[in-house]
Amino acid sequence: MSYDYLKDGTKFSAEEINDRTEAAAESVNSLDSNALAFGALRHEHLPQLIGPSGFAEGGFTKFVSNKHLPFDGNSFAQAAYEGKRYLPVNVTYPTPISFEDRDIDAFIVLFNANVRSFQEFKDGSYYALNPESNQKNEDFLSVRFTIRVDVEWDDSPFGPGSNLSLELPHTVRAVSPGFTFFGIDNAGAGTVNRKPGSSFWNDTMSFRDAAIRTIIRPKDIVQHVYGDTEDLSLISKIRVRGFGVVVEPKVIHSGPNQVMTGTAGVFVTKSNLTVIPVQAKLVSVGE
Amino acid sequence: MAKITPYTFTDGESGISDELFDLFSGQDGDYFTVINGDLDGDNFVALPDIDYKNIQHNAFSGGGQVAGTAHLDFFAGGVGTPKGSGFFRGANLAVEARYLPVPGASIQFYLPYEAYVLLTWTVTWTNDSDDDTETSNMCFFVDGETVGNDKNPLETAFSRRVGRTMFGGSDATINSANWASATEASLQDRYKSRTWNGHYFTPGTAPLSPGWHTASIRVCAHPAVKQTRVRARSMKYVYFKYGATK
Repeated sequence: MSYDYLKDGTKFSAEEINDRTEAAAESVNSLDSNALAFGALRHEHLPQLIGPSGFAEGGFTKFVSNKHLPFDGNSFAQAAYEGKRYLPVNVTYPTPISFEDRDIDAFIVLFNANVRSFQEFKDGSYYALNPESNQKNEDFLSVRFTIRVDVEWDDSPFGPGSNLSLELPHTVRAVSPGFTFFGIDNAGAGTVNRKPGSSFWNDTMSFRDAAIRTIIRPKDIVQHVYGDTEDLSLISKIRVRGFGVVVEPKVIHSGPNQVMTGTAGVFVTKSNLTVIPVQAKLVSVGE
Repeated sequence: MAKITPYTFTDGESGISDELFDLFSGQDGDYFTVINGDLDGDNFVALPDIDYKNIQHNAFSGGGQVAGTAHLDFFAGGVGTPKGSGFFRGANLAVEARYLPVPGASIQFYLPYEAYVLLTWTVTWTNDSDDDTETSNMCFFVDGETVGNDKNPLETAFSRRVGRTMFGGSDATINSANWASATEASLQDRYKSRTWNGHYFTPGTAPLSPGWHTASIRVCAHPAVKQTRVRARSMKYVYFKYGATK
């Protein structure tokens, strides 16, 4: 900022004052990047780092979806999953979010779920796994959780407004029942081959917690929609409508001493999904 | 808007003391006092690319963590123990006040401004009990309270539990007739504990206020659970400045 001080002999007139204040104002009104000192910007000067750009204070609020339930669920229907299903936690946006013009650079996604127990689904009913039937559930059972991204896509064959649900492979996490091995080869009468892999008791109290911590980038979405392309400008044709979670109980192996005669099921009660859109330069390590 | 438009004086003009004062000392207006921390984008010829050098440390976000690895044993003090012993005699798992903060999974942190806060934690714990069904529970607290629409520690989405770790026995002592009474205390094999890698993010409509806050994982066990052992645990926080995203 420049200012020409009054000197002895300077005429104290309106013109002399105006010249100085206008020059000073001009220098303050026409700053360039060199005027920004190291650490010059405090939090009062800066926008919010998270959420899409363009929102007034408190204007964007959709970050979390939590499913509050008792540990065992309020009802069977609220907890039981067989096959591939959506969990009842969703972060959806009233207006789809664009990556264009750095509206958003990535999404930070965190998810947790309380897996109460692993079940066998047979003839339309769920059954607790029975160690006395040689069901080696620990070795062969798991449940997978995958983050689902709902997008709308300008080039969609179903029209630009149609929904496309992406299940991104790098977001998949799985847990097994996590039961202590029994460790007995020759149990007494009434049991059948209690061996490592059999649970100590009917698998009604697994209590496992599944956790996902991941980042979803424009590249992840573009390559899932358009295939293995490096043209990341295609992200301009995609907008994100929201996020959900897919749950899928799995039998990893089945053989002569198979795990179960039905299909895998799982009871999931409490769950937490957080999605944080972030505006920040991303650095990928190891690519 | 911080662009300065100075008052234009004219020779012979009188009654201009307010204009002169405001020009150099006026507050909350387009005066020269904006140079004391109130300059904004309007003062720039073209908005510059801002990088980390221009930003004050922790102006966008900040964080910290605590952790611990030493075993912590919480004895219930239930049946068969002297009165006054243990932590959870008569405890009800549905009552917040019976939950005890776990050292190493509890933190106090300072927010320099209103902020959204992401808390992540890890806790590993074991239930060592004779009882078939009673559990050792963990619950997440912010500023001394549970979170969620239903704050009951059994109902909130931010609690977890673990059943008893298997008691084993010799081949001869365990069969289908007596497995439930096999109480030889030999923790077996790899699954002795449960781990909760949890997270919490402040609701979008309720960022935390500037100042000090606390976050903790707290433990409570049914009185029938002899011992709850907490192993490795941690609590981490990351805060993001709350404000407009323009």
